[in-house]
Amino acid sequence: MDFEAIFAKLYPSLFRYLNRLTGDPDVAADISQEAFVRLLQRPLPEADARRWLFTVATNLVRDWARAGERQRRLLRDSYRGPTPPARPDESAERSLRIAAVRAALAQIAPRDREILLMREEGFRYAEIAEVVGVAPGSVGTLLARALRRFAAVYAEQAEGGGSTETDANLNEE
Amino acid sequence: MGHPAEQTLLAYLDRELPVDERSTVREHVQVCATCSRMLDELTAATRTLADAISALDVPAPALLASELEGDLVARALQELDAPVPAATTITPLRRRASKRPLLAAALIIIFVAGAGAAIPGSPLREWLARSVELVTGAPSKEPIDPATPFSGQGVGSPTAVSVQPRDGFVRIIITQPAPETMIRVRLSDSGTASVWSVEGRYRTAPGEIEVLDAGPGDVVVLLPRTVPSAEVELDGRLVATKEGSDFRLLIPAADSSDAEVSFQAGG
Repeated sequence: MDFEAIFAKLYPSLFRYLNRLTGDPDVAADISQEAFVRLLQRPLPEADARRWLFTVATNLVRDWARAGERQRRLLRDSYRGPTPPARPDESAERSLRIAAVRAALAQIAPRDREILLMREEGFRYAEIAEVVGVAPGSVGTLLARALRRFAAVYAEQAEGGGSTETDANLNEE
Repeated sequence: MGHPAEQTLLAYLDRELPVDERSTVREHVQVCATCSRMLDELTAATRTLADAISALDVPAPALLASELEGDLVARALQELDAPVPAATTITPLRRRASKRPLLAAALIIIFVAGAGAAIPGSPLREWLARSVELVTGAPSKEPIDPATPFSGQGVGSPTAVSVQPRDGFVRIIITQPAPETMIRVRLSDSGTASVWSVEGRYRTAPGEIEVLDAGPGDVVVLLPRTVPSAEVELDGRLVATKEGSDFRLLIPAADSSDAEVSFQAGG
C-alpha cells in the first residue's frame, strides 16, 4: 500500500464529504485525520481503502452527532442563518444560498443525507449500502426518496420559506 | 414492460442497471411521456443537488501524510510501557521541498530522550510474515514462517535486538547495549521515526538521529510501516533496513515471547 498516494487521492474527497455532512470544516478535518491515522494502523489494499475510510468516517460523524449538542446547535443555527458567519468576501446571496443548502440537508434524515452525499462522491450503490449499513437493494429507493425530499425542501428554502423539521430529524440520530 | 419504478429510473440514470435492463428502460422511456418526464425530474433534482451542495465546499486544510505518521508516532510513544518524563523533547523537522531521489529530503524525525524500563520483545508473527519480509542473518527472499521462534543473542555482538510489530509500526528494541554503543537511525525520502533511549545522548542531522553512549539502558526505535526507507546501525554495523514493505533484520533477533502481536496482514 502506498499510503501517501492513497492519502493524496482520497483526502480531498473524504474532507469534502465530511464537510458537507457535518457543516463544520473543523470537524471534517478532525475526522478526516482520525480516519487516515486509523488507516495507517490497518493497511488495506488501495481498492478497499476508500470504502473503509468512508465507513470509519461516517461512523465517527454519527458518534460526534450523538455525543454532543454541537450538531444540533450548528444545524439550528444554519437554519436561522449562515454558519459559520459569512466571510467578508462572501456575498449576501452566497450566504443565503449556503444557509438554504444546510437547512435543506438538515431536514433530510441523517442516513438519507449520508447516502445522497456518498452518491455525490461517486460511490456505487453496493458500496453505499456497505458504508451506510443498509440492504443493497434498498439504496435506489432511499436515494430516490432523499433526492426528491432534498429538491423540494431546497426549493422552499431558496424561495425564503422554511420549516421547523430540523430538530425532529436530528433526533433520529 | 410496465412503467419502471422511480428507483429503477434513478438506477438507470446512475448507470447501475445491468446492460439488458438498461436497454429495456431506455426503449420504454423513449415512448412513454410519463416516465420520460419522471426521468427528467430526477435528472434535474440530481443537478440541483450537485449544484447546491457545491456551495458548501471549502478547500481542505493542508495536511501531509507525514503529519499523520507523526500523530501515530505520538500515540505509540504514549503507549510505551515506561512513562515519558517531563523533560522529553519532541522536535519535528519539517519536510523539505526537494523531491526524490534525494536522501534525507522530505523528512520528519521525532526523537525522545527519556528514562524508562525495559520494553518486552515479542515474536514476529503475522505482520512481519505476511506484510513485511523479514530476513535474519544472510539475506533471503523466503518469507518467514509466522510460527518460527526468534531467540538468542546476536552473533558476535553482546547486544540483543528484537523486533516487535505493532499496529502501524515495527518497534526495534536494542536491549542493554554496551555503554559506549552508538546507534544511528537514518531515513531517506520521507516519513517519521522515533528513537527512545534510557541513557543516550542524541546527535541529529537531517534525516538522521544518532544515539551516543547508548548503553546500558534499552533503546527503542519506532518505524511506522509507511516509512519508505530506513536504516538502523549499531556501532556502524547495519542491523536493520526497511525498503518499502521489505523489512530486514540483518542479525539474529532476540525475543521474549509474551507480547501480543497485533499487526494486520495486508498492505
